This record gives sequence, C-alpha cells and structure tokens, in this order.
Amino acid sequence: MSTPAKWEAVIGLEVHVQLLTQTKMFCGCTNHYGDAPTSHVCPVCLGLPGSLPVPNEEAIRLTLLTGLMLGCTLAPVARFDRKNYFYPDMPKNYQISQYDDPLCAGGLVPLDPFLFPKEIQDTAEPKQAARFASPASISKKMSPNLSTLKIAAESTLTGLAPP
Amino acid sequence: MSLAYETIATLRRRLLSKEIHPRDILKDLFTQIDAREKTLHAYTYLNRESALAAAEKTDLSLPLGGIPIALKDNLNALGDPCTCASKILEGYTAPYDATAVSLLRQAGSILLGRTNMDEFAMGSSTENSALGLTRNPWDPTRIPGGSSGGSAAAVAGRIALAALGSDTGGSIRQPAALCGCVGLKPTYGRISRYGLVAFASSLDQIGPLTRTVEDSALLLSVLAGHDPRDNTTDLRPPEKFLTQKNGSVQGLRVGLPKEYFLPGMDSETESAIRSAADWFKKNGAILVDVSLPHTPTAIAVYYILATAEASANLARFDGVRYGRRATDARDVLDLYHRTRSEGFGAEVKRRIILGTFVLSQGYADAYYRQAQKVRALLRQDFEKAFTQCDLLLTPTSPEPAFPLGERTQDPLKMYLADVFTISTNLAGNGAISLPCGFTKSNLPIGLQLIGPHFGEETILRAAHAFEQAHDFFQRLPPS
Repeated sequence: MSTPAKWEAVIGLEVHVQLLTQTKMFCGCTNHYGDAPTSHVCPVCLGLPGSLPVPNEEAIRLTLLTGLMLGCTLAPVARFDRKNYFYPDMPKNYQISQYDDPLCAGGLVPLDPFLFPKEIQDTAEPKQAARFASPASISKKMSPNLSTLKIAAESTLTGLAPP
Repeated sequence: MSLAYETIATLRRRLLSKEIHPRDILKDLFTQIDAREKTLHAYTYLNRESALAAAEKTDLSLPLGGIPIALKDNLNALGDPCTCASKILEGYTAPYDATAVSLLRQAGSILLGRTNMDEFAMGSSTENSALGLTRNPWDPTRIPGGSSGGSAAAVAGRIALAALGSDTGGSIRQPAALCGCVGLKPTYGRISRYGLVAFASSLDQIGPLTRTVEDSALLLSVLAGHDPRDNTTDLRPPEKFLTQKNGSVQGLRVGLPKEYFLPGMDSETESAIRSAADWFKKNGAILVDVSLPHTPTAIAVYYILATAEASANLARFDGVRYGRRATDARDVLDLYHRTRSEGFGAEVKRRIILGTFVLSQGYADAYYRQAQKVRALLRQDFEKAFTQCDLLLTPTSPEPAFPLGERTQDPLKMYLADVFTISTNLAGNGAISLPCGFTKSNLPIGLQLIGPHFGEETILRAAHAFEQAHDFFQRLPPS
C-alpha cells in the first residue's frame, strides 16, 4: 500500500466568467437576459450555412484587461481554433476556442494571506503566500475551502494591483 | 439580335438611353433558356416570376440597374433555395442574403436564378452535382469544368449575362477557361465571403464570370470592399476598377513561371499561351522568366488544407436543424450517421474523411502543420516573383474541356485539372482567366493572368488590352 505522503494534490480550476457586454461573443445579437426565447438569434449564432463569426471587440478588450491585471503575456495576434465534436446543442458541431495562442497566457492570481484561515497564515511566510509561487507550501494544511479561495481571488481582481 | 448576346456594359448604355427595358432583357434570356437549358442544365433553379416582377421596378440610375445576374448555388439569397448541389440541403430556403448578393441587389441587379456546381464546390467538372451534370456549350459531350460549371456554361451558352461563382482552387477560372468566358478570382479578402457556404474558409473567394473583362470589372467594383461581417475582408476604401482603358501594355513586366510550362502539356494549349505571351511582347511588354519553385507541392498542400477546413465546415450538416434529415434513426448518433451517409455524395465524403484524418491527434503535426509551412513557402514564391514582374502569365488549365465521364472514377486525375490555379488560392493572389484561342476542334483555351495581392487593376487592364486586340470573346458556341 502506498502512503498518502507520496502524493501531492495539484488542483486546476476552470473558471467561467460572463462578461458584461451588450452583445454575444461572435455576433451582434443582444444578450439581454430574460427576453422571449429565440428572440435574439441570427444566422451567425444559429450556425447557418455561410455565416461567419466576428469576435466581440469589447469582450476581447475585457479579456486583455483581465490579462494585464493578472500579469499575463498577451498574444500579439488573436487566433482561434475549432474544437470539433458532434453534439445536438452545438449548431456548427465545433466550438470556437483557443488552444495554442490564447489571448492571455501565464500570469498569476495573488492571494491575500490574511483572507486564509488562521492556521495557514501561521505556517506560511506572508510574502511566499502572497506570490502563491509554491502552492504546496500552503496546501499541506489547507482544508478544501473553496469559498475562501474564491473570495481571495475576487478581492485580487477588484482591488489589488498585480505584483 | 437577342439581348442575351450582349454584354452588361452595352445593355446598361441601351437601358439608360431608354432604347430597351429590363423586361426585354429577361424575355430574351428566357427564350434562350427555353431553347438551351434542356441540353446544358446550367441552372438548378430559375426565378422567372420574381425576376420579371423585379424588372418592373428597377432603378436604372444604379450601377447594375436592370441587369439580371445568376448565382452559384452556394450563395445565400433570401427566400431562394441554396442547395450547394447536395442532397443534404434539399428543401433548404436561405433565410438571409450573402453580402455579395445584398450588394448586387443594392446595385439594382435582378437575381435570375441559381447555377449548378460540384457538390459543396468540390470538383473540377460539375459532375459531382447531386442535381445532375452540366454540359459544355461548345461541345455537349464534354464537361464545362468546375466547380462553378453552371455559372460558366450559362454565361458562355448565352443563357446568363453574368454569374457569380466561388473559387477555392480554381473553381471560377478553370470553368471560365473551358467554356470560353472571363472568370476572375479576386485577392483573398477583396470580396466578403459572408453568406457563401464555406468549403475551405482560408481559400474561398467569390468572383464574377462574364463575357468580357469590362463586365468583370463592373461586377468587381460593386462587390469589392470591407464587410464588418467578414473579418478577413480588407479595410481599404472601395475602388472602381478599369475606369481608364487605354489598351496599352507598354512597359508591363510579364513573368512566365517556368513551372507552368511543362514538357508533355497539351500542345494546342501551350501554343495558344505562347502566342499570347508574344502578343504582350509585341505590344511593348517585357517578358521575364521567373520561377515559383514550390509549385510541385501545391496540389498536395491544397488537398491537406482544403479538406481539413472542409471537414470542420461541413460538420454542421447533421440533420438536426435544417436540410435533409434521415428517417427512422434510433438515436442521435444514428441520426448523424444516416443523415450524412445519405446526404453527402462520394467526393464530399472522401474529402471529409481525408480532412478529418489530417487533423486528427497524432497526424496533425505530420500533415496539417507541415502543409501550413509549405503554404508559407508557396506564398513567398509569389512575393519574390512579383519583385521581378507586374503580372504572371500562365495557362489556366493544362488542357481544354475533357469528355464527360472520363475522370469520374479517377479522383487524382481529376485533381490535376487545377494544377495551374491552386497555388494562387494558397498564396491569396488574385487572378483572371480569359479566352486566348481555340483548339482545332473548336474548344476554348484560357489564359491566366495572376497579380500581386490587391493587384486587380493591373490584371484587368492587361486582360482588357489583350481581349480587345483579339476576337476570341466574340465567338459564339454552336447553337
């Protein structure tokens, strides 16, 4: 039997954010919530033959702005990829995604150590925790309290400058 | 003489002088259509009533006011079918206008009907149409070329004044050459692709098929320009093409790429192209020998990239939302399998399978990404050549129209029909095909002039000068 000490937990988060844009990501349809069903559709979002997507400029701006806040490397060229699979809720049978050259890459989410539980604050060097350079150093004792992490990340996004 | 034999430029003058009415043009065209369409089968759909109704309320002050134009059946026009010559789009009605179609309407033209094509523009003979083959007006036992074969046969057969086509690897220029009309593939990004059913998005370009270079320029002037719905359209301000026609090629540097003159090529084609080059020289142009060294890779690169893009573009035809839906499907996977098996023809399936393979995990690096690199080299070939010359002069097709059925069982031989046109799609350049001679058996031969990116004005001026110095464009196919 292996001992738990041989394992290190590495946890990735896929975080979805809805941007406060006026229109959808790849067409000019309004994204106003709560209106009548299928009242904000066009050939592009229906994926009809011949239609072409055009990225939402404001969404790109907000994405790059977020990337700047998080200290990401910003792509000089916007490149999208097609993620191909068949599924009935997907009119084109591919998703428009980014694989190799995302708009923002790298970067970090500095976590405010004072928002962590007391026992973690006691064990971690404040600077080390703030940089979040070695998640292992705090993960040892941290309980999986996602809400704490979420608050920390949000406080960073809204209030703190990148290191 | 029937108005169906006139050019757009002439008809516009006669319309403006009130000598004729738009309905006269339509009536003459319908008379011709009634006589010839049964043999040619250039159309998949005709807008007889709506065209006649539109003719009563045209605004002649507009640049194409009163001029009927036919559309390849892969261009969306609100309320009309858009089959792409495929069973999978049976019964589909376009719910919107392509930008090119909306520009034609805004310019006052009348939509005449929809022309036959190889299914989803995949082919070089129009024999891959699920709606029946089209015949060459010069010899109905031969193919009209493809994939815009219906457009070319309609224009050459005098049952359309002009038609739009789409060109992914030669699909405007090759049928134009084989039917003896003028086919222009503009620079990638010159005309919006919004509303053109995509085959290979990085190669597709809409363009006109016409009787004359002047008509080609007229249509390009209407269609060219930035479109916020197509992010790949160029941002330069709208241009009017061929406004000055001095007919001179004095001082023009015309490049002859050695890779386009191969031993064993059709001798009548070669001698017609050499004569055309001689004409340019005699009229003051400077002939330059150039090389496009990566030309031999073009067909392989094309059939990797075009099929890869097609495999994704054609994924949406699944029977869930529109078009053909297989009956008796057990579940959604079965619905996909049955719909696509029944709906797509053999060549489309072949290309979807090939394209899916070259993009699949473990093979994308070996095929798709390698092909992208070679594409960059092909592009550099053209950039280098255009430091030495202003235009390239080549044959459009290695041979004149071949007999119906000759190559349907041999896809690789069929692919060779586009050997001289494919590179320009990969490099993005604009090119025109215009008649430059006839074989002893009276089949048209096409001359291709390729320009640098956005060099359409140079292409059109040179093509116009050559055309007006010869009578090839005035010859009529046997009726």
